[in-house]
Amino acid sequence: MNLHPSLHKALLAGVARAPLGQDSTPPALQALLAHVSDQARLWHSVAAADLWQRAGYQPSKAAQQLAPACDAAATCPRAAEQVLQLILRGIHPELLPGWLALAAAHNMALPHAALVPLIELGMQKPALRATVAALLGRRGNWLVSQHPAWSESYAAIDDGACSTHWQLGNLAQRCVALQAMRRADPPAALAALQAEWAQEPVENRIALLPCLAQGLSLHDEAFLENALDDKRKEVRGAAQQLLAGLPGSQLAARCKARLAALFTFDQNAAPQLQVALPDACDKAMKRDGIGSQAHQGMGEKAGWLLDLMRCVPPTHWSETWQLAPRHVIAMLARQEFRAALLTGLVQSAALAVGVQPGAGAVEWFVTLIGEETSTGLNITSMLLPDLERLPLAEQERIVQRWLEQSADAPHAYSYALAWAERRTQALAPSPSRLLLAAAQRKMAAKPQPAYYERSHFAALARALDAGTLDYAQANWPAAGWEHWPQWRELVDELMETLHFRHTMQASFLEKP
Amino acid sequence: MTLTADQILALAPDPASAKAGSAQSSQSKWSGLGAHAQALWGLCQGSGKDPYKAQIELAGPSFKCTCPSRKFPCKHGLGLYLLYARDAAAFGQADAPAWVSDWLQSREQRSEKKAAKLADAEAAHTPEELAAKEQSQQKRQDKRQGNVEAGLAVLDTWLADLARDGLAGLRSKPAKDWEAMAARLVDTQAAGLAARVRRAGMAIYGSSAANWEVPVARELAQLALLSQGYRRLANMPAALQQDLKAAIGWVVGQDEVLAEAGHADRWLVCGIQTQDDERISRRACYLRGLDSGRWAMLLQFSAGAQPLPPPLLPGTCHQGTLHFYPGALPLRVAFGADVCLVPDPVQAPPPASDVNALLAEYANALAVNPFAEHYPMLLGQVVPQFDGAQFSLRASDGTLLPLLPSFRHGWQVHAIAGGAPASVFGLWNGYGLLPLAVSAHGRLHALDGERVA
Repeated sequence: MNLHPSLHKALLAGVARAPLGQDSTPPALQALLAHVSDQARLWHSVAAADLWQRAGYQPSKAAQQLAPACDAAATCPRAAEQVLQLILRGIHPELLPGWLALAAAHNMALPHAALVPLIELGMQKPALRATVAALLGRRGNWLVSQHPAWSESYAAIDDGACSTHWQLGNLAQRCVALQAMRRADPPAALAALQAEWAQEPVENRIALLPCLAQGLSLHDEAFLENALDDKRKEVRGAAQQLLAGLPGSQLAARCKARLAALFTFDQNAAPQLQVALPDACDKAMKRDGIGSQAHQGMGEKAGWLLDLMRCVPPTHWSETWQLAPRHVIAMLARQEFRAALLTGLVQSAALAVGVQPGAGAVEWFVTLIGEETSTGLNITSMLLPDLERLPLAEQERIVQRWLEQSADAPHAYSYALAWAERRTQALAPSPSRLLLAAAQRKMAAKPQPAYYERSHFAALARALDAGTLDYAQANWPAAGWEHWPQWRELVDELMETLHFRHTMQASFLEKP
Repeated sequence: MTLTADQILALAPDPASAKAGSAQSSQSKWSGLGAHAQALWGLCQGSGKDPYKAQIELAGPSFKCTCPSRKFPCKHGLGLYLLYARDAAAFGQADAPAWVSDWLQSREQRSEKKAAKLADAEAAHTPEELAAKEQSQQKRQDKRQGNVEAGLAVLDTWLADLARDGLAGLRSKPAKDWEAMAARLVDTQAAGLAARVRRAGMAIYGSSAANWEVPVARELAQLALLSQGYRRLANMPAALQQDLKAAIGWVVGQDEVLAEAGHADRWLVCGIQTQDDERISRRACYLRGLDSGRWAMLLQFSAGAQPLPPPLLPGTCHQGTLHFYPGALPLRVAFGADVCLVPDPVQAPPPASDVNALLAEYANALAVNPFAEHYPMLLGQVVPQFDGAQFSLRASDGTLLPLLPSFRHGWQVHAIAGGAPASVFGLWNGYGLLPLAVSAHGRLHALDGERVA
């Protein structure tokens, strides 16, 4: 609404200070309002102007040509869209990543009506953004390109904009760009980082260096060795971490030599090992990260031993001593400093599967994770977070073994569940059956659910295969089971979520 | 037409019920499922000993369940309907058990009884009784008139003070003055004016936008206009008197409205708008008569924390008689007893695409009722476009209609239309459009989302 300037002035300052001028209202209205008080005339003038303008609204004409429309490219089927709308409405919101993964697997774009809410969600949760960006489709990209804030955030993932972001972006964008460059061409990306390295502020160095983990090779070693002399501890730590996991690195070779001086190996029928603690931690050792952190429950020198073990890939021991991994483990477990030796070994085994794991590294990992409690350490739970780095078939074999023995190994079921929970995709049918059977066995033995059971069941509901649900209907306790009242709710929730996921999977197969 | 899952969940009183309802929609929870043309029913095992009997009359849809929940519809009703939408084949029985047919019958009887009672009310009284009733009514009216006049006198003084001192200094004065004025108007039975005073107060203290004084001045000017108009009530056309009294706070009883002749048509639900106040939630559902082209609005209210009654679903069509509340520009309606959901999808006529004709229609509406704020507008063949600052709708001849700056789902409209012509339904207030629904590619997308602006 536009007000005449003198009317506006009177409105703000009050008619006592800025009396209404003759020109503030059209003459016809003035005549009508001649007999009312000044104060009332102000309001009546505003009301008349308001009505006048609303009734006589003159639309403007567009100055520019109409921009071409975005063609209505195919999106996901209607049924899948309806499932997505339910999820966005708050029915099983935890299944949103699952829906997005299915859409990606079927190579289908997001439905138009869900674009804005999902793009907004991606703005709030950077972790979701890459997934959403991949599913935008033609309509979504068209939309994002017109919105200033969206186009900035969503373009960061686009590979074409990499070099721009690397040179001009903020730190987070530069990290993403560097990783993308590493994926495309590791040596070129290293060269780009090297060129800027000397000018980078410390915070940038700390954030950028770990990005080299993508496509790490011996080609990067010289640069990382230099970084070991950096002024900042965090930069040195990042370089040590990378070098320790790099097969054939000089850092590993130096640590091998240091350990060789401490170990006396006796190769006869029953191999014997004597271990001495390091006397001192010299400058060169400190440079390699030995003694950089304290280890709980361990003496200083034992900690050095652990750090040294951590930097040597486990395959080195089986090759040098010509022993199978489980014999090496058994031998180390007999040592006085077994906690330090084995913890270091476990950490190095986890590092070794990080970069292109060879058959030897995988064998070590599998042996260690399957190691029973004879060592006195809980190796399985130490290695659990790194299990997903193994090839999928290997992971499933390990989990299958846990589940088969879960009847007598108390923790095997929770290990399997923890693994299933970390995965983004649903399990294959056969581990699903085993996992559910183990859960049912545990349930049958308990009169009522423990406090953590709810989260266990929620994890099952997300992880189990929902392609067919026949297996999930079977093997529950009979209807007359006396403890059903305590368990009913959990089981119902599980089945309901599985049904929902089943519907969700089937919805993508319908005709668009 | 069976509703889709999304539409069924839109009937839920709150998100928690929607979630619980969808959890009830698995077949394992139900027994004795059945359906015929009028109703669905089923037994759901809840925490009680006996299963709950849930039933739905499809024409309403109306729900009934024997569970003790105070939510309406309850999760069992929603679950039953969702299950039906997903798997109608599971509803094997076609013969309604006694508890279903009894309920349907009682509903029918009740609506008949209601109609009969209305008819009786006129006839049953002796002339003396009627005269006495009229007298007491007149007495009440007189008292109210006196109250309102007292309130308007205070309001006039207050407005004159504001005009004398100007609006510039308002933000440094306490907000509770406005609340006190509103409370005063409520006390003098002028609730409509009180709501406007609160709204003006919100515009002053509740936003940090520049140019805030203009909307406040409009609101105050309307108050002055209403107050002045009330003094001259007798000189106005009878229909406009009703509009003015409604704006001040007089409420016409629904029974009175239903007693008047109604307007039969097929009514398409075009859009809904929900507004929450701290005291009262209000939802307006806009309908258009497919044959007559008339606009109608159904208002739903709920007090305090209570959920609103289930909404009319945009895109559905209801057949029956709507009774218009009296006024120069009748819009608000009460549903007659015969209104029911049309089961098949209907073919709506293509909406008008001549923007100037629609603006002229709005100008005519204002000429008939100058107290009207906004009016429904259905635009066909318009392209939503964004000029870097605000959204507008572009008609095929290049005419631009701006969307209100307070509208929050501009990007959503843009995403759905994709730069191609679409139909948009909304409310036009003379300066901008508040869209409530957009249709593209033969699909209607409601923009209610709990408050569009």
